[in-house]
Amino acid sequence: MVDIGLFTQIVINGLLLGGIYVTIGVGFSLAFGVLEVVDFAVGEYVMVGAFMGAVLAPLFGAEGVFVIPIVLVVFFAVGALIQPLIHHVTTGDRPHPLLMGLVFTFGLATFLRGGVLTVFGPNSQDVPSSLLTGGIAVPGLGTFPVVRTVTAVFGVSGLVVFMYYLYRTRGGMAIRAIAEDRTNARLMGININRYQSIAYGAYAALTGSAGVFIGMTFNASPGMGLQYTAFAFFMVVLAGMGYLPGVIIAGIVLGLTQSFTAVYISGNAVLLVLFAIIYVVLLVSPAGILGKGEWAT
Amino acid sequence: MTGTAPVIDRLPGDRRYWFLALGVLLLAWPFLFGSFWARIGLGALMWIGLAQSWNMIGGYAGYLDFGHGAYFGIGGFAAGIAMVQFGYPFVVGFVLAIVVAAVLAYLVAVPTLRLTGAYFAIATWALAESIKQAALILEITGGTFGLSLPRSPDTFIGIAVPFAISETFFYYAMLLLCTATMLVTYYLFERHEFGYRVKALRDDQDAAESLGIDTTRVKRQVYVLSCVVAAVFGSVYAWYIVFIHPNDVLAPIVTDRMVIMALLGGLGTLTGPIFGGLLVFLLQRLSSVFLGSSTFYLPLIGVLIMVTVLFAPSGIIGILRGEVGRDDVRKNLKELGEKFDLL
Amino acid sequence: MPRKHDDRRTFLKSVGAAATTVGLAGCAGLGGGPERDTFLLGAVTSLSGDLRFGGGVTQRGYDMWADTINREQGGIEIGGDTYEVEVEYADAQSNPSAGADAASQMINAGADALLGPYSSNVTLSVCPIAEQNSMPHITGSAESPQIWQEGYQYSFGTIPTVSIIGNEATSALLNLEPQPESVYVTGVNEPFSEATAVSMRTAAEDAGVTVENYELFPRDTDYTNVVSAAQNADPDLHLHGGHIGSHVDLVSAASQLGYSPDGFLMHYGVNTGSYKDGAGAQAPYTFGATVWIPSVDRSGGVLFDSPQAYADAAEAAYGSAPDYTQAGSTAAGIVYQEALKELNAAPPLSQDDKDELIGILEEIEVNTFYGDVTFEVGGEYHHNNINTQTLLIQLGEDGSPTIVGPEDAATGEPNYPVPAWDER
Repeated sequence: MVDIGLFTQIVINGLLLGGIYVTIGVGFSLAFGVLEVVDFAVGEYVMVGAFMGAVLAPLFGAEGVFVIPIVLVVFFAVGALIQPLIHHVTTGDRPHPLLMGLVFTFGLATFLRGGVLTVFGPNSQDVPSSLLTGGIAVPGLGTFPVVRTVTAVFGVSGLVVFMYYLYRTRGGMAIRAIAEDRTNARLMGININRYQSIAYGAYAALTGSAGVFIGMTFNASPGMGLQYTAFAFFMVVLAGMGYLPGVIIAGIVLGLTQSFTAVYISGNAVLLVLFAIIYVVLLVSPAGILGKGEWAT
Repeated sequence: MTGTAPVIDRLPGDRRYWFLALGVLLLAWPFLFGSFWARIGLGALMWIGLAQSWNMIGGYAGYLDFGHGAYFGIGGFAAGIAMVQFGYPFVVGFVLAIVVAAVLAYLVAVPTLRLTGAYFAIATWALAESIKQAALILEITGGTFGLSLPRSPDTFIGIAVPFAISETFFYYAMLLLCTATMLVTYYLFERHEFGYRVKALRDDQDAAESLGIDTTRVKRQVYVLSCVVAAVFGSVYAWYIVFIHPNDVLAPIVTDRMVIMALLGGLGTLTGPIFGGLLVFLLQRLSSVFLGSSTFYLPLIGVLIMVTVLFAPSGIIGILRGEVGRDDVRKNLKELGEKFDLL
Repeated sequence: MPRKHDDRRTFLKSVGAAATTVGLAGCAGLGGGPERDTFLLGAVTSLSGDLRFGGGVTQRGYDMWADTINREQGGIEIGGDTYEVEVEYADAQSNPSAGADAASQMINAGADALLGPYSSNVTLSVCPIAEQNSMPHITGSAESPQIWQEGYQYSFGTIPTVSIIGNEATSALLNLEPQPESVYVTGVNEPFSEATAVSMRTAAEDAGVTVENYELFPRDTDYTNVVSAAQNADPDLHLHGGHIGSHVDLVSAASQLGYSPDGFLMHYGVNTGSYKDGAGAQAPYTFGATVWIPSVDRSGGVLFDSPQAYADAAEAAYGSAPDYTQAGSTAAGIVYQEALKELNAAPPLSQDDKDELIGILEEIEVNTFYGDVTFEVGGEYHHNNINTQTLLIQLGEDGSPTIVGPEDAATGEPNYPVPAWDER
C-alpha cells in the first residue's frame, strides 16, 4: 500500500537531495568536461567549505549564510592558483598524463583531509544558521526544509550562471575554444593559462560554497569529503561528461533513486543500488543517461 | 639528465653479494627481531606484493583500476567463508579465493575493459563500492558483524600441523607470496613476449592491434592475473588478522594505498612497488613512533604525492636511476612558472 | 686473483653492514629489559585516524589511573615494597590490522598486561593477539557483544556490553508516564550500532510495545528519508543506535522536517561534547544511555572517593568532563591494581604470574567510583562486567545530562514528552 502523504514527501526529499548534488555536480562537470581535469579533491573542497562555515559563522552572528561571499572569493583565488599545477602535470611529455592529473588531485585531497583532521580534530562541527531553519509545510504535499530548498535554488542558479557565462560571453567562448582545441586556441591569441584558471577558480568557488550549504544542512566533519567526491563522479557519469544541462536530470535521478530505495526497498540497500546504477550506466551508455556527453578518454 | 650515475650502479662491490645479504636478512628476520618486527615485516611484504599486483594492470597495462582493493577483500572473504561457514581448512579457502577471484575478474573484465581512462577508473571504483555494500548486507559474509576466523593447528590443511600458526608462519607465507609475485612479474612483464604486448597496448592500442596483437585478450589476461594476486594476499591476510569486516578489507583505502605505493615507487617498473610499498607502509605504520600521536603523516603523504607528480613523475625508481636530476627539476620549475602567467 | 679477493672483502663488509643493521634494529625492537622495578602496562588505543576522539578519551582514563596511584600511593604495594605503574601507548590508528600490530609491539616491549583499545573492530583483532601470547588484557571501552561471545580466556571488559546497556536504557524509557505505545527503531549498519538497535528492539518487544519498524542503513545515507518514513509511522518514541555523527544527522533532519516524537533515545555518546557541538540547538531533551556520569550515586572505594571526586580530578587534569568510557578505562586500571596486589608478585611478571592473574580477575570484586566490578565467567558475556547499572539520561536546556531512570537511580524528573521543535 502506498501512502500518498508519504509518497509526495519522498518525492520532495528526493528532489531536494538532488538539488544538493546539483550544487556539487555543476562545478565538477565544468572541470571534467571543459578543463578535462578529473578532480579527486572535489569532495574535499566541499569539506573545507563546510569547515570555513563552522569556523567563520560565529564571527558573523552565528550565521553561515554570511560566510558564503568570503568562501566564493577565497576559493576562487585558491582554485585559480591550483589550476596551473594541474595543467603542468597533465601536459608535456610525461607518461600517463591522465593518471598524473588524477593522482595529483588525489594527493591534494589527502593533504586537505589530513590537514583539517590534524588542525581541527576528528569531531563534527555545527555550521549554525538562524535564517535557514525548520521547514515550510505545504498542505497536501509535505514539508520543504528551508535550508535544503535554498541549497537546491543555489545549485540551479549556479548552473544558469555558468551556462550564461559559457555561451553568452567572450570569456566563455574562450574557455569553450580551449576545450575544443588547445593548440588552435593558443594560435588565436587566447591566454590559455588565464582562462583555465578562471574556469577552475569558478568551479572551486561554487563547490566550496556548496560546502557551506551542505554544512548548514548536515554538519562539517573532516571525513565527509569522500562521499561527495563519489556523488560528484556519479553526477557527471549520469549527466554525460561535459554536458552541463544533464546535471539537473542527473540530480533528479540520483535524489529520487536514493529516497525511493531508502523508503520502499531498504535503507541498507541505498548505496548498493546507487553504485550499481553508476556501474551499469557506464557500461551501457558511457555518454550519460541522455547520451549527450562526450565520449572522451 | 645530469652526469651522475644511477645510485643502484654506485653500490660498492658486486651486486650479487648485496642480494645475498638481503636474502639472508629476510630469511632470518623473524628470529632476529621477534614477533612485533615479524608483523611489521610481513605487513611490508604484503603491501609490496599488493602494490605490484596493482602495478600489473595500472602501471604495465595503463588501466587505472580504482577498484582493485575489492579483490583483496574478496580473497579474504572467500577464505573466511570457506573456513567459518563451511568448516574447511585454510588451503581449501586459499584455492577458493583464487578460483572466485579469477572467475569474477573475468566476468568483470569482459564488459568493463571496453572502457578506458577515467571511465574505467570510475566504473571499477563504483563496482568495488557495490561489492562492499553487498558484503555488508549478505548473511554469508557475516553482514555488519564480519567474520572471526579459526586458527588452531588443524585449520591449515585439515589435520594438525606440528608447528604453530604464528607470526613467524605468516611472515614466511608472505615472504613466499611476495617473492613469487616478484618472479612472476619479472618473468612475464620484463622477460616474456607477453610483457612487450602489454606495453605496446598501453602505449598505443591501435598500433598494437595493427601489429596483430589481440589487445582484448591481453587486457583480460593482465586484469585477471593482477586480481588473482590481490586475492591471494587477501586470503592469507584474513587468516592472519583473524577478524575481517567489509569496512576494513573492502575499504577504498586499500586500493588507494596500492595506487600511491606503485606511483611513488615508479609505475610500470619491477622494483618501483618495492620502494614505494616500503616507504608508504613504514611511514604509516611507524608514524606514531616518529610523529607522536598526531595525524600529521596524512597531510605529509598528500604533499609527498603532489611533489612526486610535479617533479619526479617516474617515482623513486626514477630518482635512483638518475632520471630526475637537479637540471630536470630546474627545467620543470621554469615550465611550471610559465603556467602561472594569469593576468 | 686480486679481483676475487676484493670481492670477498666487499662481501664480508656487506654482511657486516647487514649484521650491524640487524643489531641496531634488534635493540630498537626489544626495549624494556627483564630488570624492572615498575609495572609496565601496554595500552593499545587509536591515537590517530577516525577513532582518535574515542582513543583520546580512553588514554585519559588510563593515564588518570596511573598518575593518581603513583602520586597518592607511590604505586602498587607488593610485599612491603611499592612499585610505580607505567603505561606505555601504541597507536592502533583506528584500524584492526594496526591495532593487532600495536598489541604485539607492547607484548614485545615486555608489558606485564595490556589495556585495551577503543572500538569493537579493533578490539576484535587485539583479543586473538592477547590469546596467542597468553597476555592479560582488560579493555575499558569496547561494547560489542561479539567480543564476549568468542569466549576469549585472556580478555576482560569493564563496560557492560551494549546488548545490556541498550536494553536496560530502553526499558527505563518505556516506563515513563504517559506510557509509550509504539517505537520506531533505526541503526547504522556497523557491528556496534546494529547490536545497539537490536537490543533496543528486543527491549520494546519484551515490554509489549509495538515496534512500528526496524531499519538499518549506511552511515552516509541521507536522513530525510529515514525521518519521513518514521514520521509517517508516527511512533511515540524513536530509538536509534549509532555513533555521534549519525545522531547529529538524524536530529538535524528531524527538525528540518518537523518530526517530533515524544522522545529520541540514542546511543552512543549523547552526553559528549562532540554531540553537543554537532547537534547545536537540536541537542537539548535527547535521551541517552550510560553506565556512569559524575552525578551518579555510587559508593566509591579504591583510589577515588566518589564519582564526583573522580570527575573533579579529571576536570582539573584535562580541562574536560569525563564520560563513562573514560571512567570505565580508569576502572580497568583500578581492577588491575587490586588484582596485582592479590597476586603479590613483583614486576616483571612471569608467564605463571600472568596465568594466575587471569584466575584472580575471574573471581575479583572491586568497589570503585565507577561501580562494583566483577566479571562473568562462561556464557555469552564471558569476562564482561555486566554488574554496573545502566542509567537513562536526558540532556537539559544547556546540554548537561540528568539521570532520569531507572527509578531507583534517577536524580531528576524527565522532561517528557519532549517539546516539539517549533515550541522550544
